[in-house]
Amino acid sequence: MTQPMAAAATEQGSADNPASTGSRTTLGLGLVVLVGLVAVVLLGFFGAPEDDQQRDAVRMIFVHVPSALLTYVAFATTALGSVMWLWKRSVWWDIVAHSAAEIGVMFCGLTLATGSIWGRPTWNTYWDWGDVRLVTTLILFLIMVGYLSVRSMGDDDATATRASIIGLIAAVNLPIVNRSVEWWFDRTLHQKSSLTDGNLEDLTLFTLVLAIVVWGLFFLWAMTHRFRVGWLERELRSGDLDEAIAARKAEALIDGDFQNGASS
Amino acid sequence: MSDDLSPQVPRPTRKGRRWFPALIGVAVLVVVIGLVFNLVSGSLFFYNADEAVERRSDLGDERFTLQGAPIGCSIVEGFSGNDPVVAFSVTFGGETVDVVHFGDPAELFQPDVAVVLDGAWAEGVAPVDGFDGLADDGWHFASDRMRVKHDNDYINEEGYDERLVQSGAARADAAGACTT
Amino acid sequence: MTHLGYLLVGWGLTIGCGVLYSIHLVRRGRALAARVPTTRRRWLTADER
Repeated sequence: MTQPMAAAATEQGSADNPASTGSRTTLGLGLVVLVGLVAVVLLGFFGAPEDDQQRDAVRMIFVHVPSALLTYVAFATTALGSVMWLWKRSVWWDIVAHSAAEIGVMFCGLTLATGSIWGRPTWNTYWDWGDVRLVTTLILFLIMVGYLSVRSMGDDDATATRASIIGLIAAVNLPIVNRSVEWWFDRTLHQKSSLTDGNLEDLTLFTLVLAIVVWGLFFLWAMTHRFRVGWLERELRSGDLDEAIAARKAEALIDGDFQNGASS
Repeated sequence: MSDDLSPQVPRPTRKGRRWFPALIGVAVLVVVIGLVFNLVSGSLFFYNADEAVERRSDLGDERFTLQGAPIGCSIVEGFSGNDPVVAFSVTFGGETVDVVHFGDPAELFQPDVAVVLDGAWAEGVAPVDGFDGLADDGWHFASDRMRVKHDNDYINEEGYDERLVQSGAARADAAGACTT
Repeated sequence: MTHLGYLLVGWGLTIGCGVLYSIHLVRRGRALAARVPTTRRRWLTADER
């Protein structure tokens, strides 16, 4: 970072215009998420009834299912952003794709972890390599970790293109993960979707829907901040580049004046 | 920054890097396609009880995974030496298989809730006192690992009695098998 | 309550990850925003500029 740019940024920071990626909207959204999260915890632990088979272990549904749904949303967003980058070379969409991938990897990791924790008391195992849903989700996670690894190799257009191709390949796996419990129902340990099959009722259903909404709002909040971080990183790089070019031009002019002066 | 402003010789481009995205793409695609074919083949995870019976001669003493719903009246718990053992019959697709599971049953092990078991066919009657296998075909499945394939119905206890009444063909088969 | 250990680990992991990632994002945003002039932050509205 060059000094003039840093100085300009510091000078322009103020109470109305804070030097952060926050805004009144994200602040409000963050507060709604916090209040919603408290409500989900209270309802999830003390409001929703236990299940006749699983007893209280069923309360894992309120963290596992939202994580899984937001994994789909995040990676679908990455796929859309990747298409727009490859098609239109849209920087905005490229940052969206990268942001969604980072948040999606977090949710996908949480889906695997919470599913595994839930599996121990209910399936009697943390993991089963033969299960279609589990293995395809792990593959999705690994592909998207690969996406982030490629992203970390550079910040040029070629890297964005490579990452976009990986993001699209991951998207092919999304419907396989989602539909696996239907397509291989008689071959898989994982149960079908309770939400779409209508096998939830009353406060259990309400709490799950609330949890999905709250984590969905968190996704929006995180996307907004992560997009702004991505935008700032890009601006910083282009700013540094602008200043480097300007400095080089200035040096060339000084050098030219010097040569002209020497020859005259 | 260097003071040398004379034209620079361009650095040689690494042509190999052009193939990088294509290589990653092809590798991941191969993995995904391979996985899908493996899944479609149907031999990846478990045989349902009817398939296991049908393929018994092919399977021999090979280890495989079996799936079926335990029949409530058949469940007998006991000991093999000092080790816990549970014997029961499972049903799926109209076939019944007698099972001996060596070890503690899973926490959610209960009638009509399908189990997925690792083990192998063994000839002879199940060696558990008091167990009267419903299949009674001279074979039993010796298991050493049990998972529970629970359903996706998360309804509280108020609806439990209703669910028991509506729990489907497996329960009806089980009731029929136990009374005959 | 049954399975409390599993529940605390599962819920704790999820909420903990969300909180830690949020803190990481905000801090990273502050560090970067302090280095970029306001005029180059495209997301700001006209009023905020």
